[in-house]
Amino acid sequence: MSTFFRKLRRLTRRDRMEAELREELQFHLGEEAEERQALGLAEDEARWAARRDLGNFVLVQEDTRATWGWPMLEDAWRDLRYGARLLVRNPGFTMVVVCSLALGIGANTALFSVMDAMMLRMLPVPRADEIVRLRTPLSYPAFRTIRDRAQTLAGMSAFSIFPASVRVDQDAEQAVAQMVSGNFYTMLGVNAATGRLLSPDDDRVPGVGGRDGPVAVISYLYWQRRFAFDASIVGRTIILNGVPVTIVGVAAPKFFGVLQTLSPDFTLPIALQPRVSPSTNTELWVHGDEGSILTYDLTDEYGPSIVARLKRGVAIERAQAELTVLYQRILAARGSTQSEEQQRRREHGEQKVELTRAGNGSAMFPPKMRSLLLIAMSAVPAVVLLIACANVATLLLARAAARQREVAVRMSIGSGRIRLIRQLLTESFVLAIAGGTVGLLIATWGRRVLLAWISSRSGPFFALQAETDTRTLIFTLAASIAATLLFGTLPAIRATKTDLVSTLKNGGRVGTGGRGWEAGKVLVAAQVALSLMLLVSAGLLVRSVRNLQAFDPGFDREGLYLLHTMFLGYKGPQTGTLLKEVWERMSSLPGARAVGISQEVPPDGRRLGVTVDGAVNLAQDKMYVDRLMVGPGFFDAMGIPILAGRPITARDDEHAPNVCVVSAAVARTFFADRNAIGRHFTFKRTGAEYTVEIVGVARDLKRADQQSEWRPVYCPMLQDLPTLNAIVLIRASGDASAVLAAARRQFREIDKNLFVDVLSIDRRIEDNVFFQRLLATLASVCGGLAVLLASIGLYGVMAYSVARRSNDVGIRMALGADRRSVVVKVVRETMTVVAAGVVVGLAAAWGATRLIASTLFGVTVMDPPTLALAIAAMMTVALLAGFIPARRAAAVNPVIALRQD
Amino acid sequence: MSPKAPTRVELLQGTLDVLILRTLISGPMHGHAISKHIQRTSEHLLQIETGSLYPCVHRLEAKGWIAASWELSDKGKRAKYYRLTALGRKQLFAEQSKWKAFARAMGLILDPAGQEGS
Repeated sequence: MSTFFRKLRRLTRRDRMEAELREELQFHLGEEAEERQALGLAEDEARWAARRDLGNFVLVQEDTRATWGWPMLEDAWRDLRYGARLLVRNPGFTMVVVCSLALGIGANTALFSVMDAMMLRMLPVPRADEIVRLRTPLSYPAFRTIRDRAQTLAGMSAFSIFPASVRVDQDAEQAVAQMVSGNFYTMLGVNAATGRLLSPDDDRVPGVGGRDGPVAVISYLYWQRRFAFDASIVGRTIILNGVPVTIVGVAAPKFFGVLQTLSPDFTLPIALQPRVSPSTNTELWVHGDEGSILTYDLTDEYGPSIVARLKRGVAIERAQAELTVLYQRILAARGSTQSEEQQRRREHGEQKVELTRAGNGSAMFPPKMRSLLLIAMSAVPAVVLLIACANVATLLLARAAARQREVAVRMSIGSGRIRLIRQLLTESFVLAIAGGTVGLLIATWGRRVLLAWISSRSGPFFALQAETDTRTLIFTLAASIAATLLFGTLPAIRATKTDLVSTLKNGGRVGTGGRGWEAGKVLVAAQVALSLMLLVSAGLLVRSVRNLQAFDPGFDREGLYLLHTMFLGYKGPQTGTLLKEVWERMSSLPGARAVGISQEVPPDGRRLGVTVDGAVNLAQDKMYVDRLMVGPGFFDAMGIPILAGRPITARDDEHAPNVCVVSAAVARTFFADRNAIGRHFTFKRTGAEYTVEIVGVARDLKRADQQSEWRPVYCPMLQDLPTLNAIVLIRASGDASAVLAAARRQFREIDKNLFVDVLSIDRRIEDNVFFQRLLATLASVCGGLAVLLASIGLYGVMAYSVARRSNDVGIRMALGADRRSVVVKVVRETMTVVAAGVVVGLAAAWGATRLIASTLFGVTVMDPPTLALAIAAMMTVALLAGFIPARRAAAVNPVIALRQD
Repeated sequence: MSPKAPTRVELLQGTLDVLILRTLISGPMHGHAISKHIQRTSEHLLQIETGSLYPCVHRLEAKGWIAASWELSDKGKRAKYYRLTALGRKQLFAEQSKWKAFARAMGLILDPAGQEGS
């Protein structure tokens, strides 16, 4: 320890120490010389002998100095200062390099922080790694049994997210709510920002709650968005799905719920479920006591989601094993009323409880998209950074050639090569840190734009929040260090591999060509290749999005609006009455050319297995249709002509016989050229079957993704009550806003608790291709950056090459070469490099586009127009980058160029 | 510096420390004097290179085993004199017994008969 302080003290008295060392060594030399003189040598000779005996004076100093402090650290600090000074002295060079790196690092950091927030980050709760989700569906009673008996869990909580219609003041608004067990917050370890959170007492009495009656906690985000942090909100009563609920508190700022990307605005105790839940099936959770486990055997799949916390130190496998035993006991108790479904599960050995880590929340994207997005969001910007590094390496190589004399001098007076490489790398690091800092600014801006765009496309409940936090900073630092090694190593090694004698003799000038220049060419070709790869990918994705948006689904999109609502707080048959009332009021809206009701809009729908009366030549797995639930006016409003029979009307309700309308394709597939009308479909559903009669044939619709044949069959939603979702389709003529406002008024008159969400069909189609657009935008922006960087690199290399050969050019011109031939020569050289890059780039693109092939629509992976355009764009930019230096070469004045020598 | 066999460097590293500490037991000395003293007492078997001497004394100083001060030499010139500290004295005794044991062990192995005889 004391050694540490002694060294520290010495660090602070550096200059005096240096002087003293010099004096000490001088004294030594004096003594030595005197001694030799005493032996009879002449004074001069004695001094020289002493000096020879001492050896390398500088080296002795260097070695001694090394014992004073921490030489590595001090050298690094000195190198840092030296590097920084050097960079300040070359502002042009520094700016190009820092900008290149900033773009590269910025793109990476921005995407990293978004990706981190979207898929990687842990929930903001203590020991988030203990949080697990049950992947096996459990009924509520089964959940309670397991919760009470599990020894390996510190807690277990049910949660279920549901849509809510909330009335705070005048109009009803759409909101996301979740109901949770009373222990939800305590188990997770979340605190209240204000007021209190839920307690087990609030979750005691089904339909009532606890001592305070129906209560709810709101999220911090909702508090901010809806109430602007109004503290008086605590204690207020709002109407949620028709039930008066008291807000008792606000959850901690960073807690969005257990799903990172879907943030419930309201959290209620699960005991309120029978009153607030929109679904009829889920009533079973709470009302089921121990006895009803048997009764509601089948309802496992309708049960709530379950989140649990492992006891400290318990492995997830152990918990899984225990829960499996408990679950199998419940299944065994149900034995007597085992359904087919249970039987099947047992046979397949599927009755295991599956646990997965849930500490990072679940992803908003399905797994396949998720991995593709992970690749896209990390690989694409990584390629940009790679290009930026190649770019900087090229410039450094050029500069290293210019600094050969400096390096040679330093090496000839005894600097070690490793030491020099370290110094050059430190300079590179200074550049990278500067680039990283600017990159961080770019990232902050880029992320804001990206997040704003994503959330504008993914609904109001998207909770993604990303900020510049420690993780982001660490990532940026890591990227900077990686970049340093990537772009700095080669030039540093190159620079120090030098022939001292010839370099010093030549006065620092090296002959034309040279290996640095060749390496530069290779790097530029690599940049061109990578850029072309990104350009081709971007081009394919953009074209594919265009195709998707221009896709003609078979119905008329002109002026079509969708008014979405949910019949929240209504039960069973009530919804039918409500639906009829909505239809009656809407169908007479002034200014609407056509109005229809529907539960879903193509290309949605549910795939169901069917049987058909009469012989059908189809394999068992081909016996399916895609069912859409529609109401009166649907075909009229959508502009889908009925080819035969009749459409679905308001009279097709629960009292009328079950009917359906099929698309022409379905009629063809199942009934060939025979008449489909009057025939029957039988749908297979869990537990029950029902048969419908075909009363009409509608014109075909098309769907963009054609993994399998799409077979729309339209069934009356009035015959499948209760219905939760309802969409009013309005085809407006002229100004839509008046008719939409009138529709809203009608809704308010029907029930002021109904929310209305208006969307044009175009916007909806756009939203459907959100994922493809995200990829396309990402690739386009990165591709643009890549081309920009590559052209900077190309320009740098060509400009440098021209400057170095001005002598050569001068001689040629003095010998009679005209300016044009000089330009042609330089441009030809540029294009050779670019052409090499293009060839390699095409091969790389061929590989890369295979990755995105599954998301492409209407273009092949090697789409000729896209390829041609990408190559043309690359060539044009390259030509420009090469032409400016060529012009400069041609402007060389032979006299001046030759006099330089 | 001239290349050395690695074993000798290792040996010299530890040895030089002890030699310097031992030399300073007879009183404060400057660098040149230390080097001459070792040379003389070892009957010129050991030649201390300046390139090793100064880094070594500075290292010992950093460890607090020796302390330095500027004094006038007998010829009246300013010189940096090193003297042993209490810590250094303790270190020397520890090292000395270690070296003696080592030397004895080496002797026993290299010349068993001779050791027994003496």
